[in-house]
Amino acid sequence: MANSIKARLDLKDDVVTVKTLITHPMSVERKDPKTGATIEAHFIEEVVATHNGKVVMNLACGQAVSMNPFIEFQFKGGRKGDAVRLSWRDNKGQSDSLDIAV
Amino acid sequence: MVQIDRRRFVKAVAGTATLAAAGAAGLAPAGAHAAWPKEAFAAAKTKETLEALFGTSSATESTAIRFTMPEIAENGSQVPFAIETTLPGVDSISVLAEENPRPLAASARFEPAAVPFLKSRLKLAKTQNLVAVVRSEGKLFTRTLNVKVTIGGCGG
Repeated sequence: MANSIKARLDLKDDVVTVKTLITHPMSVERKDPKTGATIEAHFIEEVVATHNGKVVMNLACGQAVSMNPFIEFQFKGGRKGDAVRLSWRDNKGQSDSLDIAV
Repeated sequence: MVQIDRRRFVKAVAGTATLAAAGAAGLAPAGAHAAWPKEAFAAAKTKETLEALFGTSSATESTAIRFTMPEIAENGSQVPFAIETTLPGVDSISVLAEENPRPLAASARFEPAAVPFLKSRLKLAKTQNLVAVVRSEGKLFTRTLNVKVTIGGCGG
């Protein structure tokens, strides 16, 4: 599960732009074409971003977010060397996180 | 379940609201891994979605929200969107696809340090209206776009 998150941070003045790509099927609930059985959805429910240990953004996702979701957001007050952590948790209890410096 | 206004609740308990209680009020606080807003994601119509998320569906259209999506999406499974706004005191940006099986696609909760800006990609079942919902100083504002979808992206 490690390495499911790729991220790039760009600093301009004190604004940090975070672009992240998460490897995840983000699959919707569907029926098996052969057996008709329901295949449960498998999708990220939450992505959390912290800056120097403090949460800046919390994104609640549903099944409509695309496979291998790309997410971009920004926060203020960033300086070179600051710690950013990106983490996700899905509906099956799986999770991963990435620590990256500005 | 009683839908209580999260802000009033948080003020009343002087910031010591439990995650569970705040989660019951709709959008949980941005801290840690809060409760996923299950009701909001299960709602079948825009009105119920907003009520589950914010305790109200009362919203005003605003051109202070810049909402960008392609006019025509060839591939309904990866349709990009970008939402940003000059509205003040924004703590939430959400995007709803009104004719998807469940309208709520995603809902971001921002702490004051976050810039009110969000970009990602969605699966769209068919041509439909997309609604960006911004909460600014406790009030809801929206901007609507119509996206034509050539090949639906919800599978199933």
